Amino acid sequence: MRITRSFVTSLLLLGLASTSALAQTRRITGRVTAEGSNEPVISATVSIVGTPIGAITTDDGRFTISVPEGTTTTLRVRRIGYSPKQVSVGAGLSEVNITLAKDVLELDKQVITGTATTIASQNAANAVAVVSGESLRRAPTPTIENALQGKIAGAIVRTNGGAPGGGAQVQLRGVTSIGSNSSPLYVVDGVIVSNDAIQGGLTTITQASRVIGTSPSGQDQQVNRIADINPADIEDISVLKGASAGAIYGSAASNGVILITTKHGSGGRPLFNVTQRLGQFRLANKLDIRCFTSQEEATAAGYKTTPWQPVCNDFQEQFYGEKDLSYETDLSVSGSNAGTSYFASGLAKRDAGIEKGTGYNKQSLRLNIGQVVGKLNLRANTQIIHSLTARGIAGNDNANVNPYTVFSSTPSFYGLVPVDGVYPRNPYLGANGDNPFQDRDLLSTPENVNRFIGGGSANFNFLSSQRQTLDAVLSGGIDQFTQVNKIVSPRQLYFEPADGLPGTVVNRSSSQSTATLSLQFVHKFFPASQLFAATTSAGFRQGRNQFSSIFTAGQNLLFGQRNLEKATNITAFENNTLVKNFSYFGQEELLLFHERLLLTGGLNLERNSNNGDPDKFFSYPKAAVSLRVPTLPRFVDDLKLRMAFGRAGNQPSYGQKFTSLVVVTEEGVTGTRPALSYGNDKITPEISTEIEGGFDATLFKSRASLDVTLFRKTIDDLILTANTAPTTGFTTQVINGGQLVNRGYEIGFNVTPFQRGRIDWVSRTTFAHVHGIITELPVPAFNSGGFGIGFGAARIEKGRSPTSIIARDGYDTTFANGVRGSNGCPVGVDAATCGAFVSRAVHLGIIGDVTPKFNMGFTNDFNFGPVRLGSLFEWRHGGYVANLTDNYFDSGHLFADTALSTKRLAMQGSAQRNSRAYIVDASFVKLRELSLSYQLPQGLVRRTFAGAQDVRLEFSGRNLRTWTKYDGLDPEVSNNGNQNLNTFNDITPYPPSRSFFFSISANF
Amino acid sequence: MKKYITLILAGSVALTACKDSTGVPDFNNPSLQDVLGKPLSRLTLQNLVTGFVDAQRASLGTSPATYIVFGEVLARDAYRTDASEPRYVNEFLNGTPDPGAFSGSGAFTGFTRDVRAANTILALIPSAPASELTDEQKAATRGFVRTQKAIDVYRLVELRDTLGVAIDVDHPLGDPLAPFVCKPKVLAYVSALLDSGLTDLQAGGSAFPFVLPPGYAGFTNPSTTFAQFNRGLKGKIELYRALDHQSPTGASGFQSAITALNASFISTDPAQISKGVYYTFSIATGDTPNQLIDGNLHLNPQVSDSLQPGDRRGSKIVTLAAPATIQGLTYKANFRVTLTDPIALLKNEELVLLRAQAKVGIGDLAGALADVNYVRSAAGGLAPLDPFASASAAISAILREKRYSLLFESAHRLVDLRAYGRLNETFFKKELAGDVFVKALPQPQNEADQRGGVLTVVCN
Repeated sequence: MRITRSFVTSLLLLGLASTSALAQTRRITGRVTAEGSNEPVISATVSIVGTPIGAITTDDGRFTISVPEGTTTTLRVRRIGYSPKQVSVGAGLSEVNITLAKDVLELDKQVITGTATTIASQNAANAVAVVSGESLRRAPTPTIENALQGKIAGAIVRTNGGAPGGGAQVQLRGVTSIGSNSSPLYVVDGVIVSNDAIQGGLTTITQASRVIGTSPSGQDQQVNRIADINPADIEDISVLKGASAGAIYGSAASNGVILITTKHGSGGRPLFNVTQRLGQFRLANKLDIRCFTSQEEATAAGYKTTPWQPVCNDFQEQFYGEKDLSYETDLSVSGSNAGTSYFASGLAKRDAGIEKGTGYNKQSLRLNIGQVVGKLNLRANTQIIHSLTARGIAGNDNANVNPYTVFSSTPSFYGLVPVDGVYPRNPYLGANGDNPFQDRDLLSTPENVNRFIGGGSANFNFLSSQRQTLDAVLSGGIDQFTQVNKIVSPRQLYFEPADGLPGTVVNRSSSQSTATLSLQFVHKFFPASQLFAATTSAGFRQGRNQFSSIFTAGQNLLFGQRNLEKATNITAFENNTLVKNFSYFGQEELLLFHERLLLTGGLNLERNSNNGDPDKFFSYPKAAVSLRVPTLPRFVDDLKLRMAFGRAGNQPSYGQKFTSLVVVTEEGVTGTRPALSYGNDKITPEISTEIEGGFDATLFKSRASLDVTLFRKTIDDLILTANTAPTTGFTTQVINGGQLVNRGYEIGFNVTPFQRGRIDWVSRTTFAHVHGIITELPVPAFNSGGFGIGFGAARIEKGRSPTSIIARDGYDTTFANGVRGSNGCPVGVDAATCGAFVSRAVHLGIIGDVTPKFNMGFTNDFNFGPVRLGSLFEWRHGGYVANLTDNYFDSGHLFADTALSTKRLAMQGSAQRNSRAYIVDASFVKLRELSLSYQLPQGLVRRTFAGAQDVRLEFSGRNLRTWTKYDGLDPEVSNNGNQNLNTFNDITPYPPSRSFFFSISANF
Repeated sequence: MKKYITLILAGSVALTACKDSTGVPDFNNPSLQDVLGKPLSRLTLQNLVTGFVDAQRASLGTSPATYIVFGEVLARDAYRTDASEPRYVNEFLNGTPDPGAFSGSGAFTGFTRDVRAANTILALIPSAPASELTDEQKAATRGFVRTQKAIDVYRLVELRDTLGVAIDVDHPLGDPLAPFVCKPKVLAYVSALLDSGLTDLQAGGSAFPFVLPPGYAGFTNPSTTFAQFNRGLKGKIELYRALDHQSPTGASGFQSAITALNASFISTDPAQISKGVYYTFSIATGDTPNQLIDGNLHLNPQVSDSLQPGDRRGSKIVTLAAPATIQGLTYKANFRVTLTDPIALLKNEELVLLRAQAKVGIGDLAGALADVNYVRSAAGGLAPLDPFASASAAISAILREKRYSLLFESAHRLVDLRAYGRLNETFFKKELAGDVFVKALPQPQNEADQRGGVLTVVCN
């Protein structure tokens, strides 16, 4: 502590020691234009190399800059979308015109290195992926995670199911935790925002966790809240894949950091944009369900055929065949005016679900304002969002109410579609009689979210000279939302009387606020010798996250009743959490040898109230070096070697340090009983140490670029919810211990195979491989989650991948003569050699891994003048899924391929006990995005759209096609939502859909 | 200079921010640390006792009551057919229970948790100052907790049988695990625990220093009525020790059971047939309803088929309009239960039938007949049976009465069928092709994992 304070103080004094001294200057004016078209380049940055002095071009591309008298000056011009350029201006010149070439491969970017510092991508020491807002919007997506799929090497973005409104998990460089948070840290314009998934209570209806009316569970098909961000507002997204880049974010950065920057106004005149999209979602894949050709066949399959109809109902088409209109309207205006810049946008969208009554509605308003007052630069970014999501019933179900569960036990000759308002009672579900069409029409599951994200920053420039600058940046923000879930299951539903109390109502009201405040100083120093440039930043950051939620459920509703009043068997739960953290950080960047060598070092000291000792500071250092190689072969334009090291943490979850007593009520008397989990009052963060290295090369006059990164992430002091021996009276215990190592590599290859005039073809490929291994484990190997060992469980075992799936793998059979076989006498050994059968036991083995072997993305954009054709394919190779859905249909003999069903049931059954029947490879190739757009000719635009500058028409589709051997609905699925380990269960999900949109976008 | 002052001010903000308090309490639950290491107050004792008996009720299982349902499915009284959970059929009637799943590892941790809850109270009792608990009240509390703890240990051995139970578990987490003790030793331990509980109860005066749930009505005097409850449990344990051919073996074992049962609240007064201790359920907020309400739970047709006409206990059975077949099993009737129906923990009806079993053990068939006929008449409204032709016939008759008298109350039938060697193909048909007459659940996989896969049973 004391050391830290003096560290910060000395950094402050360092800033004070310098004084400003301006030498004689002269003015240079000039104009920046685009190569070829001669159009002005607006908002380009013009700076004097080796100094902090710079200017920004105006609407007509003009700039004015003061440079030292009497020397030749080198100006650097850069603008996103163009290749940067350096121009030498002779001592006597006062005017210069500069042309910039288009950067079709988007090689030049500003890469974030700290909370207030950036560096040009040509020097960046980390493989930070930057995705531009433009490429996020090629094809409309429900949420931003979908828009990232296939675009970032090293990120696996897994969709949890097909229901409207999102629900997806981003995993950067593999699984980096076992018992703690699984989500990357999301930061929007400097404000840490919540990506929590709050369970809405669906389990009360589906009994997925087998406990009626108790607290919400991870099987509620919940949505993670980053879904609220409007992709249209995004300028760009930077992805810090691990500790080496994200150490400055300390104990929240172990899973990587996703930094989202929203748009800001620039360029003077107000620019209006209107985008209208209209489209449709359609069922993308169906299971091949059996049709019965005769009553005898149905009887033979074990079905009562007294109401026999010689028909075959396509339940999936009947239930998931809705094609309602979806729309999205985006309006925005941006501009700047005398020190003020602004960006305002509005969004209204509706994604109609393929199941009637389901859908996702979102409205959002954003206002970003910047104001320069002398040396003070103020910024405020605010966003208000409302969303309404209805997702119906999907996922694991023990109450026989999920449509696919019902379809798996109802033969297709029996119609379920209502006739004249009467819903046929299902005779194939015992007393339950559930009809999913009735549930669909009468049961409602709305989720309302109201969210405010607001942030501001004040940058005060204390000092600005040719040699140095000193800025203080005070920034803060808050992300506040409320989520209200309500489920009303009226008493007349057929399944309701099953528990004797017909009608169920569930309410959950949750609110969360995440607040961040930071103050830091940034000092830049450019010595006269021009040997180096130094950027020093230091400061502190404080954060607070508060969550509170009340859950109530009641049964026995009156007819038409929709609330809890007068309900019986009312259960109530309240959950509150508070997390406080505080950190000091400092960072030094040195740019040497004419910007060829970059050295970076930094340190973050942080304490967190979730740690066992909330006053103890943990240190998260980082260091990095990059070198642009000076002498290169002719075809290489630029080659940079880089290496980075960093450490970050993953804080314990709230409550992991407490051993709770459960409060109970019995006949009006309250009491406390021991909980089954044992806390740990000495818990510390997981520590992730990452080292990465690689090179970035620009080739063939910027026609191609190649970047290769190797990394090794070591996570120590893993937070494990380890199993305990049940005889102790506890089932789990929270511990620190063990080590996980993720190794892998990432390759990005961008190329422009063809470019002539207005025709070009740009192709991008990303490839990533990661392999995790548990190198140390202080507890015996254990299984976690899953649906019984027959359908696999996550296996945590030393020497194995953390995402291993353990399951039954046949029998170990022992014979009299000492021979051992897996299932019977081994092949090639005659029965006499084996001798008599002695005993057999089920063999448990690791038969799959959830983590894919590799993930590839292929993006191709073709421009033919005004026409653009873009496509994105994603190839995920490897990765296993436990397909319980198939097992349900097999068990009901309701798959068309009865031979396959029989074979799988035999494998799974007691004869073979081989779980490979349902734990299968889920490799796939998906056509994620396809878009065709046309920019209307200027003349036509002027005649038809009054005042419009340019108008673009676009036809786009998402997830249009999947190529896979996976025999279920969608190989991308996770019944349990976002998790570290248990993301491999396919249990009667909401089926996948493909979407088509027609868009018209106009700028005024 | 002004700017530097601003800077210094800003810097001092950074330093003072560090003074903000950092600790955050547990907002959601009281924690174990709030209880341990502090003198026990009467209020805390009430909380702990209510929590303990509530935990015991919760140990019957939820959605459905797994302890009862597992026992009754294995004993061929019930089917649980659930399209989304085929393991109730596949693993209990068409295979073997999976130690890694809810099936094979189920009905276990609740009981071990209860034992920990009991041990926690027992450890805290001496810390209570005399102003909170007198020595008499301490004895009464000890007697209550020991008696109740005996139930949990016994339930573990009911379902795990010869695989044993870990007894010496009162150690901090992280200490070496207690060995599994063989069944004879477990039953001997339970028996001794009940005896030490009785000694405490006899010194425990006439009232407990805490309130018990209404299911204990009539059993709230430590030295008299609750002591009789203790003896009822003792008699049950002694009977199964004798049936397990353990010390005391032969007639003396059965005699010891009869002695204990006679010291209990046993009665042959028809009005006292259902006297006993019950688990009670409620749909009040925060309370728990009866967990046998379950649309997928059905009766094995044997139960409805062999019900004697006019048996009043048939009111527990709802016959369906038409038989139904699911997962290869056909059923015709369900168990009738409401959300607030109590479940007996130990009732006179059971004590009398236990005594009949013990009497058969000592060859007193006439005495056994009298007890059976009492139950037939008082509970079923049925005519008395003729004298038994043999011990085997007597056992068949007793098991039949027990089935209807104790339907869906515990794992009693599984224990009896096993004890009399009747859970096999001689006495029952296979329910499904893969039916292997599972006689006990395995020890949970997590237990095996923590012991390096070695589940040795110690018997010395």
